[in-house]
Order: sequence, then C-alpha cells, then structure tokens
Amino acid sequence: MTALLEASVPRRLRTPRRYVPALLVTPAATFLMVFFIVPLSTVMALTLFDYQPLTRSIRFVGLRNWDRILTSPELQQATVNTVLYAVLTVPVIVGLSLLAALGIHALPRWGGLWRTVYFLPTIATMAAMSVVWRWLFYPGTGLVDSTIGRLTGATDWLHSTTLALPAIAVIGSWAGIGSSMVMFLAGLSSVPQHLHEAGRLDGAGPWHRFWHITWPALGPSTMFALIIATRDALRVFDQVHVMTDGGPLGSTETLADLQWRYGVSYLDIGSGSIVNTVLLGLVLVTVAAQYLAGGRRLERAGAR
Amino acid sequence: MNTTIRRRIGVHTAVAAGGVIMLGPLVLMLAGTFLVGNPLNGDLTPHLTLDHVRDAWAALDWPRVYGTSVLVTGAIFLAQVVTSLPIAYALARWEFRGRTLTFKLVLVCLVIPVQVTAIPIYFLLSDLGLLDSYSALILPSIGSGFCIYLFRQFILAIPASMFDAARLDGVGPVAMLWRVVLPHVRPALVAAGVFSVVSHWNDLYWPSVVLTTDHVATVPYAVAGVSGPDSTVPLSVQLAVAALAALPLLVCFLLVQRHLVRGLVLTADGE
Amino acid sequence: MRLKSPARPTRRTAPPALAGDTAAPTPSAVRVYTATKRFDRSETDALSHVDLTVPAGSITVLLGPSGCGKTTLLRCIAGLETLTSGRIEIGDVDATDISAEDRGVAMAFQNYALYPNKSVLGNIEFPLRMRRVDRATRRERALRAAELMRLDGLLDRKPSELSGGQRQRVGIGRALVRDPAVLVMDEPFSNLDAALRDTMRAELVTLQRRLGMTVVFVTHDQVEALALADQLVVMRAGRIEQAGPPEDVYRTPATTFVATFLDGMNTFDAEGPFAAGSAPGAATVGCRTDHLRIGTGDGDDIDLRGQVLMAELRGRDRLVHLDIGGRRARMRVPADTRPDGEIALHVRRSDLHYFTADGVRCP
Repeated sequence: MTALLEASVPRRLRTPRRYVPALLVTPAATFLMVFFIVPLSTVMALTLFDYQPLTRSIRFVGLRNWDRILTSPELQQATVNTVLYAVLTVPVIVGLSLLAALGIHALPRWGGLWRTVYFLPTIATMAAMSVVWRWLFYPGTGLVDSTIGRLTGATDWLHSTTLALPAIAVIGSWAGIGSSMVMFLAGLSSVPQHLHEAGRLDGAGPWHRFWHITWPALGPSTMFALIIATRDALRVFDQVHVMTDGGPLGSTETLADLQWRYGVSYLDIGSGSIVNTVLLGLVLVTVAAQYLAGGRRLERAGAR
Repeated sequence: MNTTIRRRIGVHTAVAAGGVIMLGPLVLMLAGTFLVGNPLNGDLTPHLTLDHVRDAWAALDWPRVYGTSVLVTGAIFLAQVVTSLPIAYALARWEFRGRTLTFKLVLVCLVIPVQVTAIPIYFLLSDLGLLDSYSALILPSIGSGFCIYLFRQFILAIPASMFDAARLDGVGPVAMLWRVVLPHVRPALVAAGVFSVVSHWNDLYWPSVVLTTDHVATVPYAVAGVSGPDSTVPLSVQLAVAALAALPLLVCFLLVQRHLVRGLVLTADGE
Repeated sequence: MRLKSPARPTRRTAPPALAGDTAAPTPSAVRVYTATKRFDRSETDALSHVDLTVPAGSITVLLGPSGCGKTTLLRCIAGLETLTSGRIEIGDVDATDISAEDRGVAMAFQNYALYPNKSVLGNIEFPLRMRRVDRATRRERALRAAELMRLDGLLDRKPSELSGGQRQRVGIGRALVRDPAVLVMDEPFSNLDAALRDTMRAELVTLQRRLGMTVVFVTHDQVEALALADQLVVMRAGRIEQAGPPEDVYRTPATTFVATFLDGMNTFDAEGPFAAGSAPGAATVGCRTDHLRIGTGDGDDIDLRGQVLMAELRGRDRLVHLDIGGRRARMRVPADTRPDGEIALHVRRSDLHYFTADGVRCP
C-alpha cells in the first residue's frame, strides 16, 4: 500500500497550504498598502499638523487647519463646484448609460457597432478632445451657441461664471457614459433568458419586465456604476485643466485642479494637503452613503 | 406584431440619435483634421489635406511620446494582472483570517481617487529620487482595487469542480493560478485591460504631478502642453493633435471590444 | 399613487377571449397546421411541416431525443418563437400572429424561472397583477393555487430558500393561477431526483383530471412519457414520427426509430432465422425485450441461440444483454433467473414487427 502512495506523490517542493493565502495576497497588498492605505492615513493624520516640506518640520496644530478651510473662499468654492459637478454628471451618466445599455441590449445584431460608438468618447483622450469641445462652445460661431444658445439665450458658456461648470459637466457626461454603459450591458446579459420568457407569458410588457425582472437583477451593476461614476466625478481634472483652467473667476475650479495648482504648481504643500483632505472627506461621505444604501449587493454579488 | 415592429424602430432611432451625439465631437475632430478650412467657421470646402496632420506630427516628438505611453500603460497593466490575480483568487476561494478585512480594504482602494493620496506619494517618490521617471508613472498605479474586484467576481463564477479536479490531478495551490484561473478569466482580463489601459493612457493628472520635464512625457501630458487654453497653435493643428492622441487607443479598442462586455458580468450565473 | 382607468382593456390588440383569466377554466384544443420553423443562420428546419392536434382537456406528451424539435414546437405554441410558415390555433382563434403575452398560454420551465426577488406568494400573484386583477381577488386566487400545490407555510419564502421540488411547485402554481387555456411544460421534472419525479408526475395527473386543463408536456424520458400521456407524440429531426395513445404507440410502433426509442426494441435483419414467413418488403424485424423467451419454442416459433454478455438487475426483472448471431440484443427475464453462457431462445412469430428498408412499418 505505501508503495502505491509514494509512487503517486510527485517529488516536488510544494508550498504548504498554510502559507498559500499569505503568498497570494502579499504582492498586491504591498502595493495597496504603500500607495493607498499608508498615504491615506498620512493625509488624514496630516490634517492635524503643519508640515513644512522644505524644512521637514512638523508641528501639531490641532484643528487650526480645518479652521482655515472653513474660511477660505477659494476652497469653499472649489468644494461647491466639485459637488455641483458630481450632482450634474452622475445621475445623467448613470441614467443615460442605463438607457443606452437597454437599447443596445435589445438590438443584439448591432451590439458590436453601438457598443463601440458609445464607448469611443471614453477612449478619446480628454486632454485632446477638450480642444474640440472648446470649439463647440466657441462664443458665437460654436455649435452650442448657434443652436441651444439661439433658442435659450445661453451663450458664451465657457466665459460665463454660471454656464462654465454646466459646460464642463456636459463634456464629462459625454465621456463618462461609455464606461457605465458597458457595465450595465454586462449586468443585463447576466439576467437569465428564462426569466424574461416567464415574464412575457405572465403578461408583462416591456416596462413591467424591466421593473420586476431586469432592475432587481441589476443591483450590483448599478452599484458599481454609481460608485465608479461618483469617484470619477469627484476627481475631475482633465477638462478643467485644459479647457478653463479653473476660470472664469474660479467658477469651474474643482478640488482636484485646486490641489494640483497649490500642491504642484505653487508647491504650497500645506494648502494642497488641506484641499486633499476636503476631497477625501467628500469621497468618504458619498461612498459611505452609497455603501449604506446598497453596498451589500456589491459584496454579495457573485455569491449564490 | 405591429407594436413590436414599431417598438423596434423606436429603439433603433433612439440609439442612433444617441450615437450621433456620441460621435459628433469625434467626427468634428476628424473633419477639422483633414479639411483644409475650418468647418466651424462654416468653411466646408471639401478639400482634404494632410497638412494639419503633418504640422501636428511636427509639433511633438510623437514616436517618443507614443513609446512612453505604450511602455507605461503596458507595464502598469501587466503588473496589475500579476499582482491582482493571486489576491483575487485568494479572496474568492481561500478562507483565511482577515479575508473580510482585506476585501473591505480593496473596496476602499477602489473608490479613493488618486488625488487624495497624491501628496504623500509625491514625497515618497521624491525621497527615493524617482521623480520625473518611468517608475513614478508606473509604480503607484500597480495596486488596483478595480482589477482585484473584477477578477474576484469572475473567479467566483468558476465552478468548484474545476478546482477539485485539478487538485486531484496534482496541481498545487499556486499552480492553480495559471492552470485553472487564468484560462477562465480571459473576458475579465479584457475588461480590466480596456479600463486600465484607457484610463492610464488618458491620465493627465498623475503625469502633471510627478513629471517636471518632457523627458518621459505621456500622450496627454505632451498634448496639454500644446493645447492649453492659451495655446497659439492653430486650431486645425490642435485637432490633428487630438486625433493623433486618440488614434492608437481607438484602433486597439476595435480589436477587443467584442469581449469587453462578457468580462464585466458581476453576478454568477444561475439562480 | 397610480392612475387607474376603469375597465381599461389590456393595452395590446389581442382579443380578451384568449387571456384566460375568467373564473371558470375553458380548456382549449390546440391545432398546429403545417408548422415549419427555421432559425436564422441555420441550415436545417427545426420543425418541418408539423401537423398536430392537441384535444382540449387532455395531456399530450412530446417525446424525442435532443434536437428533435419538441421544445421548439412547445415554444411556438407558447408564442415565444414565431413560425416560419404554418398556423397555430388555440381554441377557435388563429393565434399564429399573437405574441406570447396575449396568448393565454401558461408555461412551466425546466429551471423553474421564478422571480428571485419576489416571495412565493409574490411569484404566484404576478400574472394576475399583470392582468390588473384587483388585490382582493388576486390574493384569493393566489392562495387557492398555493393550496392546490401544497405550498402552505412557504408563502413568504424567497425562491433561494426553497428546494427543487418546492420551486417547481411554485412555478406550476404560478402557471395555474391564471386558469390558462393551455398549460405547456418544458421538461419540468428533469432536474428533480427520481422519487420526487414520480410524486410530481402523479400530482400533475391528478391536478389535470381535476381541473381539466389542456397540457402539452415535453420530455426525453420514455417512462415519464408513457406514464403521463393521453396522446403520445414521438418526434425526430423536426418531424412527428408517430402520434397516438401511448398503448398504441408502444404496441405498434410505426417506425424503427419509435420502436428503438421507446423501448429499446431489438432489431434484426430480415434474413436467416427471420427470413421465412416475414412480411413482403420487410428489411428489418423488431422484437420487444419481453418477447424474447428462454428455451426452445414450439411449432411456428423462431428458435435462436444467444451468448449472454451481461445482466442488469432492474428490481422486479432483469435486463440481459446478449449477442445473437453477431447482433446485440436485450431481453427481460424475471429477477430470480440468471441466464449465463450460451442459451437457447425463442420468439413467437406473432410478436414480431416488420419494417421496410426505410424504417417504416410494413402495411
């Protein structure tokens, strides 16, 4: 008997099962720790200190930094702008991409074509497309001004303190629909065909089938799309940097752009950190809210 | 049957209308690139020219910039796969202390925007003397909550019997990764690849933080230098620059788009 | 707050006569005329000129191997697929162009197709909700259906908390709650274990007798087919090979395919010991497994010799695999008989079936 067993076990060094998970987790965990968790904690901790990069001195200042935040009009405006931007883009992106996904899902033969068409804006380098969009929003002769502008009198968007941010939001929505749409398409494809057939036989028309069958099944996809869209909205940088540079008069200044301006351009680390912290706070709040609302589904997705 | 046909036409029209809006700016970009006159000034002279393209090509060191972007995005994605697959596999199929905590941490990393952690990372890189280098562009992006999450979902969908059969065949726990896991997560690889490559190729923020010269400029960084709001470069050339910037990605996407949707399925099949 | 228009007809064009939510069930016959169905990008017909009549209030079983078209035919009757050509009548109405939502056909699925986010009661109520039945009536009818399917006590559970048998009962309950004109079932019991299958089958028959519904049932299991059918329809490659009462189909198979599919009938070439006295034009001779008998026969019987290869105990009898003159054959013997080695067999001439070279029964 022993001979049989020995013959079947190859003489090879094998990692004992005990150590395997650690081995598997370590590489990624290292990168995540070094480049996400540790910096995150550092940033959160730094809010209570005054850090001078040039002298490398650290002084505990308690809540004095936060005090500065609440009084800095620039920061306040950037925060408002960022939140406004998110409010303008996230519902539009998630809503329109869902509609697009539903439409494309219903036309299986043209799937490849439309998927590509709707995803192209996401692929196009925003820094580059900003040029085109600046054109479109060109005062007077630009497409937007000649159509919508003529109808509603809303002209010269990019130079208007009230219209510049919506313009940026439009661009951001345009570029963001593709990724959400693809996630929804994946979610739609995982709804079993038989459920739809049962629904049809039960007399459910397309709207009812969507509401009772498709929508409940889209939970994880919607959650994922929502979180990604929000994250991308809160960290918007490219269009602002290239198109408006925060103007006019700071009406399109978002937190990410502000932080770049201070932290990288002016090398004012202190202020940059503070901006960071506000952004972080914003992200944590929104994510926590979203998670509490439906994050369970994100985790449960995949389990039977 | 009438309602069905009418419905179908309605869907086609709606999708097509949306498609026009999606494509509009891109078509304009191509128009401005190849037409002699400026279409937005109403000048639609149907004369095609490559002049703008030529000027655009001359405005930047494209081969170098392309090369850098390819190297950076390629390296990032490769490293992401190599590190994310194992941890995704562990999270999906192995029980260990701290598994839930690890997963929650992964989710946290998924949502944290890079800006928030930018400054400490900047200092870290600075201390290591890595600023303005390939490493600065590549290293911070390797840990990817997005990839880990996606891969985990896919691995959860692999039937347990696959793993059992492999174990009985003598496949060790780590070898399981390329014998069982890798062949089954191909769609997820495509999806992760598309998102990773697209977002890193188009990333303007991070290069703006860690680069100080044009030494290892990526495409968006180089383009922003040319196309900012105060740029003096003529519009048509800027459009041509935009076209050149976007082109490689477009081409690659066309090749893989078919597999993209399958890779993002987040729920396991069946009931 | 939902705006309700009083007595608004369903928003589609179908005549309400088919949307069978009247209280008293009116079973309808189903008539299929020259139905042909070819899927896009397919080289062959899934259904080829199929004619079938399903009498009202009876159980018709569609039986055949995979790919024979039985499920396609079922789905066409339900309206989930459209015919390439031909007609389908349900009751007295030409239903060919009426879409699935309006046909008044209910369906039980192989993998149950229950709405995962609804409770058992919610699942059963759903069709009535779609027909805008008022809440009180809805609840009452759903409870009745649940009671019929013996689901009391499970009403608040979600499908994921039920066993396979329970899920299937919910699926059937949901189908029945509409008092449908026709109930179609697509291999509903094939995911259940053997004992459960028997129970469900018996329940189904009892139910059908009680409610008098028209049922079209698809299966690839001969035993199930023979047990359930009032009319048995054997299909192959998109065509009906034979249709009729199960006893007739079993005793008098019309083709070699039906013969071998239903009972694994033994077939021999019409030569050698089988040549003499066989019907004119016969190329194949068939003999049921229980008609091969051990020992030498008398008079007119045909004597054979066979080599026993293997014997399987089947409970009450034993299935013996033999080699007769180079041909594999099987016979049933009582369980306590254990034939071995080379044995003598005989078969009565009257028990033989004769088929032509095309596999059709000789006239």
